[in-house]
Amino acid sequence: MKNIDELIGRALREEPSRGLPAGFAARIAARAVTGEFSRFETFLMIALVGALVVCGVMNVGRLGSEGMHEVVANGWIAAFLACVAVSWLIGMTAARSGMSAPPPAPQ
Amino acid sequence: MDDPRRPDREMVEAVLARRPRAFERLVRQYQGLCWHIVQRMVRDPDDAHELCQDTFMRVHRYLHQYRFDSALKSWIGRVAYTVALRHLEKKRIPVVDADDEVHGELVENVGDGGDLEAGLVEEEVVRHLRSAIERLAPLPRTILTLHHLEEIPIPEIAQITGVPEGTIKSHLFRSRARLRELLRELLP
Repeated sequence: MKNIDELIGRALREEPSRGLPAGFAARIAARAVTGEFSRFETFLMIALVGALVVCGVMNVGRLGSEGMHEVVANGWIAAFLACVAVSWLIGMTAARSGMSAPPPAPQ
Repeated sequence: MDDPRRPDREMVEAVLARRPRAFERLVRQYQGLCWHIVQRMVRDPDDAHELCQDTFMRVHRYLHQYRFDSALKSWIGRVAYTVALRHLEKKRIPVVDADDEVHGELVENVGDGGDLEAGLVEEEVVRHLRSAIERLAPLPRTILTLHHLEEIPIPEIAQITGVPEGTIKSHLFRSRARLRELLRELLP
């Protein structure tokens, strides 16, 4: 009879194990690249929103309260809200159709 | 003299330089190690699969922090072990049995030598041994796998698990003793 060390080694080697599926490496690599792009998109979004806020504050300061009344009266606020709503709706539609979903987990 | 870390360095530099398929090659090279660590820790194949994905996503994200002060294999093993450990902690699953707690005592004689009882059919012993390994706690089971299956030396296992070398030796010694004991119970 063999030494227990050899038997343990054999028991572990011969264990029926599902293991990781074929193509696991390729899928993970693709997912990692996708993740990089989404991080870039997030950075870009934060930068643009930041720029918008800064510009908004500067304009409020420049125009004063009377100027702001004019902006509201001309419907600029309504146009801005409409843009936000359309953007949100496009995002929702894309999410439902799976356009922005991460790649499916390998089986 | 050749730098033993040269292959690691080349592989890491290729991934960081975003060379085509470099990360895929890295994953392919270490997915077996990752699977052995994670699957031995968590047991459930679906959880293990998901945690292996998580491990390699983390490896990709934090590879720039790898400083070549240990083998890349140990570094990736450490990430896999940490991911699996957090999973067990979330599920409140202990990694060692209460009576398996070792407090760093050094057991120099890791191998307990000794042949198993003659007369038992080897196939039967291996089959029972496999089920006995299943009954070990996650940490001793993982240490046993790294040592016997991946043939990773004890200092590297210590780097992967963050457990002191003396404790690793104690776990190995105790696991072998327990397996012998369980085999005696299982076999007539």
